[in-house]
Amino acid sequence: MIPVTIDSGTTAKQMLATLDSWLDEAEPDERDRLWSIISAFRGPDKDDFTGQLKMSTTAKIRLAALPKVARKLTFPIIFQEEVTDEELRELKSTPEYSHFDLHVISAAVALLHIRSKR
Amino acid sequence: MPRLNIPRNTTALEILDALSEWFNYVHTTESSMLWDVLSALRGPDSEDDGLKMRTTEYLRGVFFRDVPANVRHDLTPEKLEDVVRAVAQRRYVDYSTGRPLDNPEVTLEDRRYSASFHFLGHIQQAFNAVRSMLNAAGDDRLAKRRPAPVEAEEDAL
Repeated sequence: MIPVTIDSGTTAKQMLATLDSWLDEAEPDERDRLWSIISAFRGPDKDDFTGQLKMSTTAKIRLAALPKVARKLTFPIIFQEEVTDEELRELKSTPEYSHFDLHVISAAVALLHIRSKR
Repeated sequence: MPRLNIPRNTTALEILDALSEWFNYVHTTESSMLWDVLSALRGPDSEDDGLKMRTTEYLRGVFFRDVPANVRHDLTPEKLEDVVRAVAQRRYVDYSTGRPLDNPEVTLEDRRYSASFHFLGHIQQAFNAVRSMLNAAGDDRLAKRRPAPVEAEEDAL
């Protein structure tokens, strides 16, 4: 794996410019995987009065994608240390009832793929 | 602005690892701004295309030259100002109830549990981050006419 080092003095704007450059030039499948994962960083917009849906989907995706920092970034919805492949496979099998479900499934598929290459 | 050299053949996994490292060490203000923007890159779950066009697509257009859905639109200060004002005034119908969100009969509780309301909270936070980023960097995309400030919604993280 190529270590990508980014100086801690890099600003948010520079990070977005970097992401843009990479998305513009990356191999299409890799680009689509990253986009699928980023798109699922936000929780569901509705039907989640208890937060249970967010904890069982979004939290796992954030933790699987950004394991070093997800708990810090998204306190207090993440209560586990790591996400297993089995959990991602369960998310991948989510019945597709809503637009949000589609994003969860796409992110789980992308995360399972990139984990298989680790 | 310096361009950070990331090889073209870098994988999505390597980008995520770099993002994770950066979030871990960078100043909180910068990490919050990036998180606010990333969280709002997905359109509204209500699949309200009109709302998406006026919010998500503009947001994507500020920073991204190429996105998978090919939805980029050029952003002008005037357009952004219109969108921010509209978001602030809740001039959108909540498609789950069919009621306009600025209707006085819609209670705060209704708004909190509506898909569009939650989404608009994220969009507001993202636009606030965009303004901070561009203004701090002297970026002239917003220099001609800056939108009126919009108070941040409840923490939608």
